Amino acid sequence: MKRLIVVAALLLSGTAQAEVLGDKPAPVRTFAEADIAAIPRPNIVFTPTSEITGNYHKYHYFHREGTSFDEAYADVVECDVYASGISVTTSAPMVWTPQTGYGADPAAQAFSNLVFGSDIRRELARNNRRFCMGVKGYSRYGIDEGNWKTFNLEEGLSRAPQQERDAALAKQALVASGPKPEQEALEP
Amino acid sequence: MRMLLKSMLAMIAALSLWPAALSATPIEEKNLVKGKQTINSQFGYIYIHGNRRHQGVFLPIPTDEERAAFEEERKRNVDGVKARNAEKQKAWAAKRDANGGREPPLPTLEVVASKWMAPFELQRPALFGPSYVFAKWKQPDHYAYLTEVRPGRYYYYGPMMGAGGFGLCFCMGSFWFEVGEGEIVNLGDMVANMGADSLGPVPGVSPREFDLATVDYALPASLAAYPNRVPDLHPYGKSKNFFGVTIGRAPPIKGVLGYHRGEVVDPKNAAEMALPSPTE
Repeated sequence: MKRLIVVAALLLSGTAQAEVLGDKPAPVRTFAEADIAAIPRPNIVFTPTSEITGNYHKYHYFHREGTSFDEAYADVVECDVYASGISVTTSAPMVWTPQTGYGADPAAQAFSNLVFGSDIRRELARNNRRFCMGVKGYSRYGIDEGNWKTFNLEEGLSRAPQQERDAALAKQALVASGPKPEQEALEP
Repeated sequence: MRMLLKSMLAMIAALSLWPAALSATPIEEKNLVKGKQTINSQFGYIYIHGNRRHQGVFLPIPTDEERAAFEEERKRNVDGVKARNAEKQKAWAAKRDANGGREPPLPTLEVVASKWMAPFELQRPALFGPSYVFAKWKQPDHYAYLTEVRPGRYYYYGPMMGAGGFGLCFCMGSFWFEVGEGEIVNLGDMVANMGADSLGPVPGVSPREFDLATVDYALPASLAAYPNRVPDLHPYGKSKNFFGVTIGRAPPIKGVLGYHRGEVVDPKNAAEMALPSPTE
C-alpha cells in the first residue's frame, strides 16, 4: 500500500520528482489470493540446541508485523537483488580507466575471485540481505539449517536457477508476512 | 587467523586493482603550483579533505539525452558485432555446402567490447583516495583530494576503494550535486566525517543525523583564487550494487536526506518521496 502511495506521490508531483534521483522503481507485483494459498508454507518451528543457536548468524529469516504478502514479496525481491550477484569478480562490470582502458580488470577480477572464497561471498550476501531487510523494519529470527534450506538459497560461486529462486523468494515472503514467530527476535 | 589472511590477500588484490582505479584525474598541489596540471575551464573539480586518508567513488548521473545517446551507441556496437558474426557464419555455411558438407575451419567471431557491457554510470566514475593526495599536512595530520571530472551531476556512491569492489556502497540512499565548468566544488570534510549507515552493531538504526553546519569548508591557499563554491546537496534514491560489495546508505543529512524505513525521503518535500527499488 505504501508503495502505491509513493508511486502516486511521484506521479502527482512532477517537480518534486526531479529532486530525488535514483534507479527507476521496480514494477510492483500483485498476487491473487489463490496464488498465495498455493505456496507451500515453510516450517519455522524447531527445537533449539546450542549448535543451532550458534549458527543463527548464518541461518535466520525475517518477519514484519502488519505486512501484506505483496509488500513482503517486493521487499524480499529488492533485498535479494542487493544480496545476490555478490561477486567482486568476473560478473562485475569493467570500468574504463585512462591507464588501462578496459584491459586490466579481468585478470584482477580473476585474482579477486581466487582470493575470495565462496564462504566470504555468502557472508557478504547474508549481510546485505540483513541490512536491507533491517532498514525496512523486519525483525530477524534464528532457525535451524534443515528448515532454513527449505526456503532459502545457499549460493556461493554459482547462481541458483531462476525458477528455484522465484520459489524460494515467494516462500520467504510468505514467512515474512505470516503469523508472528513465537520465538524471540534476534538483533536486526 | 583465516580471516586475517583473507583480509591481507584482499588488500593485495585491492592494490593490484589500484592502477585501474584512476578514471578521473587526481590533481596534486605540487603539480598545480609548477604548472604541470591546471584548473581547466572544460572540467569541474571536487575538493575533499579530512584528518585521515580516505577514499570514495562519485558516479555521474546522465541526463536523459546522454543516457539515450549512450544506449544508442551501445546498441549500434552490439548490433554491428552480431551482424558481422552472422555474416561470417553465413559465409562459413556457404563454404561448407560448396565443399559437399566438409566443414572448413571455424571463423573467428568478434566479441562485444567490454566497454559496452558496463552501464553509463561506470563509463567515467570519479574515484579519489587514498593515494594521490592533493596535499597533506602534519600536526595534525590532514589530507586533501582534488579530482578533475567532466562537468555534470554526480552522486556519492560510497566509501569504496578502487573500481574492483572494496568498501561500502551507499546503494540504499545517498546525495547528489552539480559540478559546473571550471569550478571547484567544495565538499569540505563531510565525506570523511559523515560516517555510514551499514551493518554495524544494530543495522537499520541510522547513525546520528549529519549536520552540514559542522563541515569545515576551508580551502588551501593554492586553490582559493579559483572559482569555487559549496554545492547544494540533494537526496539520491537507490542505486544498483554494480560491484557486488557490501551495501549501506549515507546517514541522514539534516535538511537534505531522510529515510522512512528502507525508502529515501526528501526532507524538503511535504510529500514523502521514495524510489522503491533498483531493477535488474
